[in-house]
Amino acid sequence: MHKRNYWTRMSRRRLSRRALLRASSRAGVGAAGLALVGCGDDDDDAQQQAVAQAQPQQQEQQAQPAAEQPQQQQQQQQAMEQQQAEQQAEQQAQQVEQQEEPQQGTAEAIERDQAQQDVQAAEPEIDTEATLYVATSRYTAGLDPQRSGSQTNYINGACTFEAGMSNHPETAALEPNLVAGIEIVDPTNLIMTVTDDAFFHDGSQYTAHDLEFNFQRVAAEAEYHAGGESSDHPNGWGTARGTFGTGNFSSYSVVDDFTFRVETPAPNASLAGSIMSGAVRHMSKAFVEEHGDGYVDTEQAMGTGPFVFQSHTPDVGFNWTRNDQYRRGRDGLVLPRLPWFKDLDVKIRPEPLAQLAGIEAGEVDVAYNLPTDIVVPYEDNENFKILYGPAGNPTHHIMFNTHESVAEVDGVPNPFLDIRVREAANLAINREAIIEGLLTGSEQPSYGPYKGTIGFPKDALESRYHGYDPERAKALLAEAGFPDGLDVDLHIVTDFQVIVPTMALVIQEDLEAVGIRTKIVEYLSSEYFAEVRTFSKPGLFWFFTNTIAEPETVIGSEINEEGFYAVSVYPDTDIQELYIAQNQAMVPSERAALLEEFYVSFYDNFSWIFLTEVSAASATAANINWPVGPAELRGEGSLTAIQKLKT
Amino acid sequence: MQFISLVLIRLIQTIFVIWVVVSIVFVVARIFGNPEAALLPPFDTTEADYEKVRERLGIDKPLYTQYGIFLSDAVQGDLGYSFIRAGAAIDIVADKILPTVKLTAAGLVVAIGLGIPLGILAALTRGSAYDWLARLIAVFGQATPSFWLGLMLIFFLAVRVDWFPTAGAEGFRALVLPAVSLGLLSAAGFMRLTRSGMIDVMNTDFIRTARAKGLNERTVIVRHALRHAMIPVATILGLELGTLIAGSVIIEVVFSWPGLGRLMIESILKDDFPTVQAGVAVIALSIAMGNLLVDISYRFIDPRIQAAEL
Repeated sequence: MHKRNYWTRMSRRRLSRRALLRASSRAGVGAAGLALVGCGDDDDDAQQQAVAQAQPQQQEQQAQPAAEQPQQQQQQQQAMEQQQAEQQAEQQAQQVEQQEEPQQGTAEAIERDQAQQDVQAAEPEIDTEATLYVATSRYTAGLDPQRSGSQTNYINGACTFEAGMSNHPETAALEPNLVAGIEIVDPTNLIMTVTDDAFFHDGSQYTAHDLEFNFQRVAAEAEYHAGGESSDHPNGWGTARGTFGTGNFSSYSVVDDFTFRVETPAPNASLAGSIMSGAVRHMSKAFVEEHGDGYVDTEQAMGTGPFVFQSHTPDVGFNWTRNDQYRRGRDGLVLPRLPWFKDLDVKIRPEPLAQLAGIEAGEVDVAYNLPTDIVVPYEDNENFKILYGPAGNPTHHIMFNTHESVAEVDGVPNPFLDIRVREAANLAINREAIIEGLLTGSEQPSYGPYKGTIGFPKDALESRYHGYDPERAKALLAEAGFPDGLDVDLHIVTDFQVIVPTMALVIQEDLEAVGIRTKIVEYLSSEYFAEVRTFSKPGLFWFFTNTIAEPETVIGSEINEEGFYAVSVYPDTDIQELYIAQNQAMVPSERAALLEEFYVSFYDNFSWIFLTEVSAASATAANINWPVGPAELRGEGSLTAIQKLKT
Repeated sequence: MQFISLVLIRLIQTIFVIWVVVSIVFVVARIFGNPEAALLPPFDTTEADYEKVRERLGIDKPLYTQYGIFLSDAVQGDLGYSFIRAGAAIDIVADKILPTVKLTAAGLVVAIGLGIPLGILAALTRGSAYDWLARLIAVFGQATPSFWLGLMLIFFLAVRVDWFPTAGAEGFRALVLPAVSLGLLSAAGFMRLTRSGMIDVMNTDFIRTARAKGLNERTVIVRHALRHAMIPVATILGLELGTLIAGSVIIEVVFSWPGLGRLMIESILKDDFPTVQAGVAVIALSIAMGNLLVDISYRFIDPRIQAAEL
């Protein structure tokens, strides 16, 4: 650690050899001059005056009496001799300097080095040997990234393990990772090439057999224990999801150590994004088979990721150290990267204010996924950096229940089947006011799925922005047969994102201003998502998107008519056909074009009440840099990008 | 013999209380809970996935069947496996008992160590500025929410002056702020009760007699007055134990203390029924046992009190 103190300041002011030589030569000349003057006259003051005023006195000398001239000549002589002595001494000094030029160059280099060091000290360096302290409120259960219940242990999943592919930080497009590439042999046959430079933390190589094992394991089809059981876990073992998309396989097999073949029953353009996403974190087949599920869930996490797991204390924290053998450098383009810091110490702190207090007290470097309102007081605090970015569920919308069987409001057949009512509801929302007044001011209106997902046509949608026009909304409602407005329930979930209950009150006011009177019905998340899936209650349902780069996770469940959150359905449009078509377009450019058409149709249809993006906040100590791309979140997946600066 | 009978009866009552409490939790949790939703992410999960999880957790069966299985397992000491964590629910709860006992005991020390001396001094200096100040502290202590007090203590004593860590459970220094936050509310109660008890006792005939016999004031207060004033305090001690354990739920979250309270909060939020049931059983047991100990302590504080009166 470089500290500036009295002694370092003094050491930087030390004399260079050149300065020392100059000073000594001048001292020598001075001493010689003094000796000469001292020999000529005892009147030191007169001698010094004579030396100093030799030139101005020349005219006066001509006017002086002749008797005084010998003494003046002597003085002039002495002054001249002194000047000559000075010149000789200076020449000698110059000669010495010339003789020692190489050494003087070294001295200059030392001076330059010192100056550079000073500049570097002024601009702190990245401390690549630092320990980074991270506070998280995430509940962390087991260490197994695939076990049901431990799916919330994102931090271990992102640090110790890796996914098949990663997403480009700017475009969200799939990038090579453990799987170097996917070749589409034909629309139902894929060949995956496994990278040959990925190694587990125990030194063993990652191969296609590991890839196969992980697909088998998430589908609970792996039979690697006595009796053909899929698990020896003490309280049963279940995958975080049923299949992670592997249910879409007809068959799959290992071709060789680095080649894997998948067959699907029908063309499935979203399959690669689903099965390669961060949801499936890859483990070592040999390690799991040797130690069993219980061990890998409670004792030791071992993957190929950028951090090597060291230890954990339940409910207290985790420790990792950098995987210095990690195959990727710090290119800043692809996640994950070789970490910029040495050790990672994660502290579990459920209370966000305690996380912020930890930063202020110097115990914590980074806290993320914080509610935006609690960090506002810290924006001007010099000990903090406050960073805003998309929340885990980055865009919010309200779904109309357009299932005809339940859609009768005020004795009138489902009003939301009428596009004019849906348009009125959209025009009633003052999104700019919500963004400026309630949110951080950095958000944008929502156009459906998150803009960071693959194929999202941002420009095309932004040019169609619905805007805010309450007068037109009233006119549309009247035109649709609701001149006095209508009454409807607005169902919301209160514990999923903290902003929802407050934002719902604002939306309620906006809707009421045009005549759509809502009664807010609140649910906890444990009951809400089950309720939404029934499609049994009329009215409006608050919902979200996620940040998974493959849009299928959102459009397949919320827009696709077969989706289990598809509260809104549109039998008289081409939306469902477009959804199916884009998912069968195996060529990325074709899929992108169909996705654009699909999104635009969906937006033009006023299919939901499109609300706004919602942000989350991160807080760091002042000496932390945390750069991420526009398609990345500040969270577990981007911890490797953090730079801790020397202070 | 009568005393042993009392203890046995109380133990049977305790078992009954635990059974009732856990049964209520069992039913309420299953009526309002939805653990498969907590286990599986809302997106990209099919109904078949949910069904598979329900089956694995055994919550797909009718409620009475689940209850029957639960009871038959519980009498064998098996409270089930956690839905979220790896391991038996009772083991997971047991791991968290010690940190919570540590915190609760420290809170109790703060409560007693602050409340009783302040109460005695306030009673002995009744009407003075000190009495007024002590009562003000008591009102402040009772009116201050413990989580707010905890955050204020963190802000001033951990962040501003760096005397204590802001969170965690490493070392004695980490225990101080949570213990003070937890104990201050109870200290206020102890202080008020001790003060009123002492004022009552100091005006009784036996105190006057003790003074008339020439006993010094210290002996009068400590050996005679305080002992009698402590009977209602001991009663409250049992109740305060429950208050402290309940308070620890919030304090453990604020101070990131890895104890039973935090486990309960997380388990409730995740609908981890077995862990909640095991935790409730342990808390009910500890409160019941605490009260039993208080009842037993009456015999030592005032030997005139017989078992039948307890």
